[in-house]
Parts: sequence; structure tokens; C-alpha cells
Amino acid sequence: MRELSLHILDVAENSLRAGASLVEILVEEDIVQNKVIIKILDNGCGMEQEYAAKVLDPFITERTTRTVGLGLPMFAAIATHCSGHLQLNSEPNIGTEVLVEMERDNIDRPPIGDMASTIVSLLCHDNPADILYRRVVEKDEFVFDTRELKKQLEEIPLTEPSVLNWIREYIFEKEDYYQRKGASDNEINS
Amino acid sequence: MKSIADLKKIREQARHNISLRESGERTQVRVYMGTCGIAAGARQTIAAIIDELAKQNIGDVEVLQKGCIGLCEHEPLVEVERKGEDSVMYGHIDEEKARRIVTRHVIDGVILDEWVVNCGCSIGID
Repeated sequence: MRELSLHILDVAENSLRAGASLVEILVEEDIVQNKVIIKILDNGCGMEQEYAAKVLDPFITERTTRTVGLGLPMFAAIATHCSGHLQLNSEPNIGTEVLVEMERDNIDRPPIGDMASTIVSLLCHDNPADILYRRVVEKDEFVFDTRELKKQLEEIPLTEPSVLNWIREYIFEKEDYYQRKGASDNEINS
Repeated sequence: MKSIADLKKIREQARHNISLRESGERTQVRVYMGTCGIAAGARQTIAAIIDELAKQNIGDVEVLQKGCIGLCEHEPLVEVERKGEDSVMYGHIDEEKARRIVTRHVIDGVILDEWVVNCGCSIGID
């Protein structure tokens, strides 16, 4: 997977499958400390500690359709390649948190990528959970909250194609701004 | 710049479209997005399907994303189920093929045989 946003989609999908009603996603670029921080937090069913300790092993999965689970191990591998790490905290009946940190200017660090399509894909899941997405670059912050959108939409579902398309374009515009901001802050720092 | 206030207009348009629908039943388009699907490009596929539906002003279609069903070698997989018809599973669906599936199968009801993956059996296809 060539974008961090694809790993985020993959991991957040686990949250939806775990029956979460709210998934919080943070993507932060700390230019001064040279870090990319990604956090995916859910209030789903969580995991027993024993299982959570094994879940980074690619040959452990809950699925019965095949016997390998590559989502978390691949994300962890990318983080390690970029002088960072992936940390998993989970508690049964409370939820799961996946925290990833990596070196921002590392040559191996994948781009953040298309977060707009990631969010829209998550909204198409069977589990109609709310999503709170925060994108931070230094002191600038963009917050996307489906609970706010639902107030505006009244009885019209978020999954209406015209609504989903609007959401994708809306987040895309903001992402574009943050990507350019990240690039120009880089120049100032170097 | 887009703002949350734009949603009002979209809401009114969607309301209008929904009132035009006759029955509650809807066509379902399922995109399989396990790790395998995502790695194969399913996210662009689902985005293209939503975009094509929105552009053609089709509201009575539900786009769902699903997990891995074990046909990883055929990802990205797209399944179309029109109301009252058998579902059809398509394999290796990129953005362009996805748009074509929306126009031909979802809207016109014509199955695109050349992209169909047979009956859930993953052996001997390709």
C-alpha cells in the first residue's frame, strides 16, 4: 500500500467490524519535531490482552475466510521502516486504539494520500458508525464530524451517492490545503 | 471553498429524488475492501462508483463496502444485486470498469459477462 490513508482505511475497518459507534481518526504532522502521528480510536468490542498481544503477527486473524491477517502487521512494518512504531491498546467492551508514529522526513515514509476517499469508503460500511476525523498540521486543524453533517442533512442518509460525493470533494479541498501547507512549512524549516 | 451549508441544497435535491422513487427496495452494489481489496485498489473503485451514481443523479442505489471473502486474487471485487435478480460478482474492477458497470448493469440491467467471476469458486478462473 503506497499511501498512509490506505493503511488507515484498513485499520479503521477493523473498528467498524468491532461494532464501534464512533471512530476517531487523527492525522497529525508535527514539522518541528519531524513526526507524523496517526491515531485510530474506537469504542468497539475491544480485544483480550492475550489476543491483542498476538494481533501484530500476520498469521493471526479472526476471519475464517483465510488464515492470514496482514493489515496491522503491514502498518507496523511501515512505521518501523520510518524509525517509528505502532502501538496497540485494547480493552474488552471499551475499545481499541492504534497509535502510529514515524519520522516525517524519512525517505521511506509514504505520503498521507487520499484521506477523502478513505473517509467516504468507511461511510459505506454496514456499520453506520459516526466518524470524527481530525487533520492537524502544526497549529492548523481541520475537523470533520459526521454528527455535524447529520444535523444538516436531517432525514437524508449520509450514504446517498450525492452526499457521499460532496463529502469526498469537501475533504479533498481541505486536504489539498494541508498538503500544500505541509510542503511550504518544510521549506521554511529547511 | 465548500462549506457545510452546501449540504442544505444537496438535502433538498436528495429529498426530491427520494420522493420520485416508487418502491423502497434498492439495488445494492457491494465493493469488497479487506486488506487484499484495498491493496488492489478497491478504494478508487468504490469512489468511482459513487461518483458515477452521483453524476448520473441515481439515488436509489446502496453502495456498501464489505470485508474479504477469500477471493483475494480477483480483487478488486464488485458485486451488483438488482432487486429481484441474482447477484453478479465482477473481478479486477478498476475505476473505468466500475463506471461502465454502473452505466450498463446498475442502470440498464445488462450483465457484463467478460468481467464476471464465476459462482464463488476461485479455482480455474483467469
